[in-house]
Amino acid sequence: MAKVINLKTNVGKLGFTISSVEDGDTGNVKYFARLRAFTSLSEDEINKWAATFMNVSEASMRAAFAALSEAIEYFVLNGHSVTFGGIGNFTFTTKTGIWDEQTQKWTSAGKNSMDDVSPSDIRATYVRFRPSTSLRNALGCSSLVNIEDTTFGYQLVNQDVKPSAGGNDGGGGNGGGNG
Amino acid sequence: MAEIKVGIVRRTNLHGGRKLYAIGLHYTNISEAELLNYMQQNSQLGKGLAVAAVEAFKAAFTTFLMNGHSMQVPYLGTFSLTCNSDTKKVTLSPSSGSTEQDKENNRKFKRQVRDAIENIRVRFTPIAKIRTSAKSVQFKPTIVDPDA
Repeated sequence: MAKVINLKTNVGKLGFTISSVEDGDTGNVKYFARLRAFTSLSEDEINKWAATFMNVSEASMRAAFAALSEAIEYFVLNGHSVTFGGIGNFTFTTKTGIWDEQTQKWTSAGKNSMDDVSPSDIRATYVRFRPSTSLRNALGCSSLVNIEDTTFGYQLVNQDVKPSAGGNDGGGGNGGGNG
Repeated sequence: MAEIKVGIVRRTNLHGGRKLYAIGLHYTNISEAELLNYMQQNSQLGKGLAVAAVEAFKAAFTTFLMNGHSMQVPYLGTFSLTCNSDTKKVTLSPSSGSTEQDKENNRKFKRQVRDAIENIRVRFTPIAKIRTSAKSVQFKPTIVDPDA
């Protein structure tokens, strides 16, 4: 039986909402856009979809994701970058700073002499994902749709996207749904 | 225990001065083939499943993220999209009325807000386990000429 996930989406478009904020100095209201996901897919849904997509069992897919994560973590936190072709790479970044007990704030760790620079100046390490140039370009060219004006529903069957009958929310489907 | 080598870099700070800072050094770039090799050697996975994980991960980007969804990849973290928005480009305000003129004004207003979106990028939030591991990374000092 084909597994389906209900997605509320316009294929190939990104959704945004309009927010406002009052300028504290002038009192004017400023309007800006925020990208908003049509659907937030959980780990279970991604795992189910991936298992169907790759024609393996869900338990095997989960074990495979665990091994993938462990491998990425191992390489990145030992100073390497891990590249996925066409998508991007995982890498690490560091942040320096010195804690000032008097002001209870982080201050700059910049030094004048090489002898004064120390590994203890590094206050944090982060695992980052950097999208590839092609992915960034594709995102930059994406069509945008106001999420408040869009109520189309789609069903995702394996990797095919089929429009549901009617306009509002995707019709009932098998397996996990998420509206 | 994870270990990263530390070098020194010279940078201009906010006040325009040139100072020396500690920085984590990047070694090499690991390709997909090397990653798959490691996965096979260090887990009970066969090659097929290791490839399945990598291919599914990449396909999830084009299937979900590029179509406007956010996704939680098991054991890795959450990928979502974010953007900047130039408020200076939005000169109109929304209309509260229901006349044709108001509707047309609202359409123009939404178009302005949409066109003010720039710098769409991917935001990655790793799971707690990875964030905790990152906190316990050891730093190994090494001497690197910051002016090299």
